[in-house]
Amino acid sequence: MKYALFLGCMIPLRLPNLEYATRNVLAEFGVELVDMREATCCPDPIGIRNMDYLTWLAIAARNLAVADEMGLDILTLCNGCYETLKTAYVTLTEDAEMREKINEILAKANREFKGKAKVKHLLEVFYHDIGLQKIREMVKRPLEGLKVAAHYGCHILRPSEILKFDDPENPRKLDELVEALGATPQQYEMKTLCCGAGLRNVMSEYSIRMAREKLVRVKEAGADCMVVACPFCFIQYDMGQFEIRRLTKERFDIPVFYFSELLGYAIGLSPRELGLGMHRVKVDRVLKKIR
Amino acid sequence: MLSEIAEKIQICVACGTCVGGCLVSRLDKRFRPMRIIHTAVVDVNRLINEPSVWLCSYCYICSERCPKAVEFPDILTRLRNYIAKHGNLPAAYKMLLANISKHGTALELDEFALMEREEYGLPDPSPSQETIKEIKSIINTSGLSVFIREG
Repeated sequence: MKYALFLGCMIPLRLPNLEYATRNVLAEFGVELVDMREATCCPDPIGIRNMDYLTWLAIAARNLAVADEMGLDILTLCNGCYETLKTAYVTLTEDAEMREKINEILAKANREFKGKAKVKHLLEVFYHDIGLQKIREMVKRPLEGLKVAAHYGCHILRPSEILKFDDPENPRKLDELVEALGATPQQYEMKTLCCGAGLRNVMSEYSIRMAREKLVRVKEAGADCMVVACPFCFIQYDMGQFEIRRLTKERFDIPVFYFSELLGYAIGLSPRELGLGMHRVKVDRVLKKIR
Repeated sequence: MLSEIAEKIQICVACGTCVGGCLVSRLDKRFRPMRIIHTAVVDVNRLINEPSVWLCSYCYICSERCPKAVEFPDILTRLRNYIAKHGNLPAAYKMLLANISKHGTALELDEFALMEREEYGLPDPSPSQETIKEIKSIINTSGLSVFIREG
C-alpha cells in the first residue's frame, strides 16, 4: 500500500504530534507514504469556497493534478481536506464543461487535472484498505474497559451523495474501528453534531458553544474519552475544553484522541512515539484505566 | 446568479426541517437557513451587510435532511460569492487568502511547530517557491487578489 500523503495545513503547522503519530502507526502496517512537496492548502472548504467558488475548485484541482503526476492515490488526514479534494474530484469527473474551464486555469500553471488519483481519508484506509481483521491481529494492548465516544465530524460524512463514506445519520465505521482495538464504543445523543470549527474565526463564542453541546452529551453518556478523525475537531474538543471553562465555568476533563493515536497505543507504540504529551487535556489518567 | 437561486428554491415547502437540525439556529434565532434563502429571492442586496449570513458552520445537516433536496450550503456559497464581489467579507477569510497566496498554506509555520517538527524529525512542510508562484497565478486569474491587497 502506497499513498501520496496530503498533509494539509492544520496538522503539519499546528499539530505535528498527530502527523508524527500517524506516520509511525502507518509504518507499523507497512503503508508507504510519499510526501506531496508541491501540494498547497486543499483549499479550505469554507473560507476560500465562500470567496470564490472557481478559485477554490482550481486550487483543489491543482492538488489533485500533483497526485496524478505522482501516480498515487491521495491520503488525507483531515475532514476539511477530504471534503474539498473529494468534492473537487467528483465535480470535475462528472462535469466535463467545468473540467475544461478549470484545466484552462491550470494550464497557466502547467498543470492538468486528469482524474486518475483518488482521494482517501485516513479512516477509509484503515477501514477498507487495511481492514478490521488486520487491525485486530496487530493489537498487542487491547483497550479493554475503555469507553470511547466516536466523533466522525461533518466533512467525512456530508454531503453523503458525494463523500459516500458512511451513513450520514447513523455512522458505524469509526465505532467498528474502536471496537477492533478492544475498546467499547460509547453511544451518545446527537452523534452527528458539528464541532463548530467552521465558525472559529468568524464567531468564536458560537464555535465554543457548539463544541460544548457535544461534550455535554459525551459526558452524560459516561464516556472515558473521545476519538476524532480531523485536526479541526481535535482542536475544538481538546483546547476547546479550556475555552469553555473560561466562558461558562464548566469543566469536562474528557481526553480527546485522534484515531491514529488510539490505534498506535493499542498496537503497542509508546506514548512518546505517539506524541501523546502534547494534548491540552492530559490522557494519562485514561490510559491507566485500560485493564 | 439570482435567477439560479430563485429557481433552486422554488421547491422549498418551508417545512423548517433545516432550522430544526441546525445547531447554529439553536444558538442564535437570527440565523434561519430558510429565511436567508427567501430574503435572497426577494432582495439579495438586503443581505450584503447582514451579519447572520456568515453564521453557517457548513455542517450540511440541513441539506442532508431536506425532504425536497434544497442544498442550502451550496446556495449560501453562491450568495457569499456574490456578497464578496460587493466587497463584504469576514477579515478571517481575507487573512486565509493572503496566507495561501504568500505561503501556499492557510497558516504560517510558527516557531513552536517548527521546533516540534525538528524534535520529531519530520520533513519541512513548506511548499516550494515554484509552487507558490503557481498558486499566485491561479489566484490572479480569479480577481480575488483585490482582497489580498486590502488585507
